[in-house]
Amino acid sequence: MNRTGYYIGMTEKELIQGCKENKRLHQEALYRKYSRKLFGICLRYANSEMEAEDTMQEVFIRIFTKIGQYKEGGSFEGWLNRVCVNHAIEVYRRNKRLVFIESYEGDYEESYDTRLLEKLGADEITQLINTMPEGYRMVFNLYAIEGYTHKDIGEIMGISEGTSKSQFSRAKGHLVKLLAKQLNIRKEDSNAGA
Amino acid sequence: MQERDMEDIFRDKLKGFEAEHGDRWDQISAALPPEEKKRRFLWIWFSGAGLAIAGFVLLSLYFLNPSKPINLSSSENNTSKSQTLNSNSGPSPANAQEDESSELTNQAPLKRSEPVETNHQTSQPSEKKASKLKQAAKSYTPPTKDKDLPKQNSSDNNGMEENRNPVPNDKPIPFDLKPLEPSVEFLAMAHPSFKEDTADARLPKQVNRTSHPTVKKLKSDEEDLGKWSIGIGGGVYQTKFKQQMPGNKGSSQIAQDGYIEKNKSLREQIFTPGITTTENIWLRYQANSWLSFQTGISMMQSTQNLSFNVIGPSYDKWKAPQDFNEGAVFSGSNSYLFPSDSIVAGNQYTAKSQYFMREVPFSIFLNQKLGKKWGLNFELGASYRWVTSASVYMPDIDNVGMLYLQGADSYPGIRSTWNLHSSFGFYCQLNNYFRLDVAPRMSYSLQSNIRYSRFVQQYQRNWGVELRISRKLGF
Repeated sequence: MNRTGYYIGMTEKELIQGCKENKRLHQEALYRKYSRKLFGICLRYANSEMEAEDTMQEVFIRIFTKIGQYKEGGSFEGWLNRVCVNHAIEVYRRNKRLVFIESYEGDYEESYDTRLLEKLGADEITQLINTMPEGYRMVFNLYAIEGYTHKDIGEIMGISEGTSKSQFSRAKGHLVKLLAKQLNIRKEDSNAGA
Repeated sequence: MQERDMEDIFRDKLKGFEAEHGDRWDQISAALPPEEKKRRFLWIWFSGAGLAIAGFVLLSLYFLNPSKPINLSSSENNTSKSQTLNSNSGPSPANAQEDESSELTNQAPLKRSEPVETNHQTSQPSEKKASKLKQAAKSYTPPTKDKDLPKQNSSDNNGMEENRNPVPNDKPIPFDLKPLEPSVEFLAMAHPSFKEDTADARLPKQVNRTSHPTVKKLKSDEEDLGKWSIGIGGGVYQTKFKQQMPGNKGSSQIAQDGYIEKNKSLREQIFTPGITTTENIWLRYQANSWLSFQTGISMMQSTQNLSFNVIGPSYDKWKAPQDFNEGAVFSGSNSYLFPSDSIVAGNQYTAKSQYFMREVPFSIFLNQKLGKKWGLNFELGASYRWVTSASVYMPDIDNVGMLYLQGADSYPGIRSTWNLHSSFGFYCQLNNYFRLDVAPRMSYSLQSNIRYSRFVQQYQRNWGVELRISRKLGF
C-alpha cells in the first residue's frame, strides 16, 4: 500500500534519475517508498529497533551516494536489498563482538511442525529471528533468507564453511525451540479462551 | 522435517516484509550533499531578462533620440556627392542620365516628399541653354579607354567634391557597357564653360528617405508606422481560487496513504478571494487594421486566504508541509511541525498564502477603430503559467510561517498550468506612436492534475483591470 503521495505517479525510472541528480524530492520519494521494506531487512540484522533505524538511515545515505553505480536493466529493488544487506554485514563486521562460535558436527535433529510456521506472520518471524544470538542470526539470515552459500558466509564472517553450517543448524534448533514455546503459548491461550 | 521447507517458509513469509519505523528523513536529508539549485528555469529568466533589456534599449533609442530635421545643406549634399560626376575630369556615361535629371530637377523648388521623376517630366531647358549645349556637344569626344575615364580625387575638381566618381579606378567599364550617347544636357554640364549654369546641378538628388522617423512624422496621422509595437503593462485582479480533490470526499479510487490518507478531511480546500497583481512586457504584431497578435512575459503575485474545515480526526503530529505541498521541495528548516492535536476536529482554520508566478501569454486581438484616436479591443488567448515560489502560514496556529516552496512542480495543485484569458477593452491612440490600452480582463485556469495520482481539480479565476502602454517601433 502506498505510504504517502510523494511517489505516487512517479515511475521508478524518474525516481532513480531524480536521485542520481541529487534531487531532494525524488530522494524523499524513494525513501518513502522503500524505507519500510529496507527497515524490515535491517530489523533482522539489528539487535534492537533503534539500531535497525540507525542502520536504515545509513543504508539510505549510502544508497543516495552510490545510486550512480546502479545500472538500468537490473532489479532496482534487488539492488537496494543488496546494498542494505551488504551494509548490515559491514555493520556486523565493524561491531564484531567476541562471539564464541562452537564448531558443530551433524544436523539438528529435533522435529518441528511446519504448520506452526505457516501460522506465523512475517513480523512474528522477524521477532523470532531477533531473539537469536547475533552469530546465529547472521548466518541464518544470510543462508536461509538471502540465499548465500556457507562458503560465502564463511568468507563474509571470517569463519570456516563448517562453522557456518553448524551455526545454521544451531540457529534452526534455536528457532524450533522458540517455535515450540510459541506453540505452547498459543495452546494455552486457546485453552484459556475455551 | 525437511530443512528446505523451513527456509522456503521463511523466505516466502519475509518476502516484501515491511515494518513501521520512525521517520529518519530529516537526518538522512541533512547528511546528504546539498541539492543544487534548480536551473531548469534559468533559460526562462534569461529570455525574460533579454526581452526586458531589448525592450528597454529600443524604448531608450526612441525616447532619447528625438527625430532631427534633415540638414539638406550638409548631409544630403554629401550623399549626392557620390552620385554626381566631376565635371572637369570627364563624365561617366553610365551616370550621364542621372546627372541630366539632377540638373532638371533642381530647376524646381526642392520638395522632400515629391519624387524626382515628376519634376523631370515638367522641366524644360531654356532655348539659350539649348544652343550652348549644342555647341558643347560638338566638341565632345566620348571616352573609349580606361585612361580616359575620370579618376577619383582628381586635382582638377576645384576642391568641390570628392569620391564623386562611382566607377572604381581599378575597374574598367565592362565591355558590353557601351557608352551611351550623351544628351545635350549632359554635355552642357560636362563642359567647363557651363559651370555656372549648371552649378545647381550639384545640389543633391532627392533620395527616398521615407523610412526615416522624421519623414514619417511629416506624414499624415494615417500613415503606417510599422506593424510591431512594444509595450509594458500591469494589472490588478481579484482572485478566486478553488481546489477540489475527489479523494477528499471518498470518491477517489486512487490509493492515498500517509498524512493524506489519515487527514483526508483536510483535502477540501477553498481559497477565499485574494488579490493578484501583474506586471508584463510584451510585443505586438499588427497584422492588419483589425487583427493583431501579442506575446510577452508576465510576473504575477497572488495573495489568498485558505480556509478549511476539519471534519475528520484531530491531527496527531500533523506535519504541515507534507499536508500542504504533497511532495513539495522544502527545506527542513522551513517545515513546521505542529504540536500534537493542534488541528482539532470540528474546527475551522485559515491560512494565508502567497504565490509568485510567471506567465508567458499569447493573445489574439480583434480591433475595431472608433475614429482616429479611439478603438475597441477583444482579446482571446492562452498562457503557460508556473509557480516560482509560494509561502503559506496559518495565523490560527502560532502565526508561524510554515511553508516555502520553490519550483513549478512544488505544489501539484498550483503548479504549472495552462491558462485561458480574455478581455474586452478600449484603447486610445495618444499620438502616432503611443497607445494606451485599458481593459477589464478575466482569466480562467482549469487544471486536472493527476500527478502523484492526486486528481486535483482546480480552477483559478482572475478578473480585474489591466493597463498597457505601447509604442510603435517603426517597422
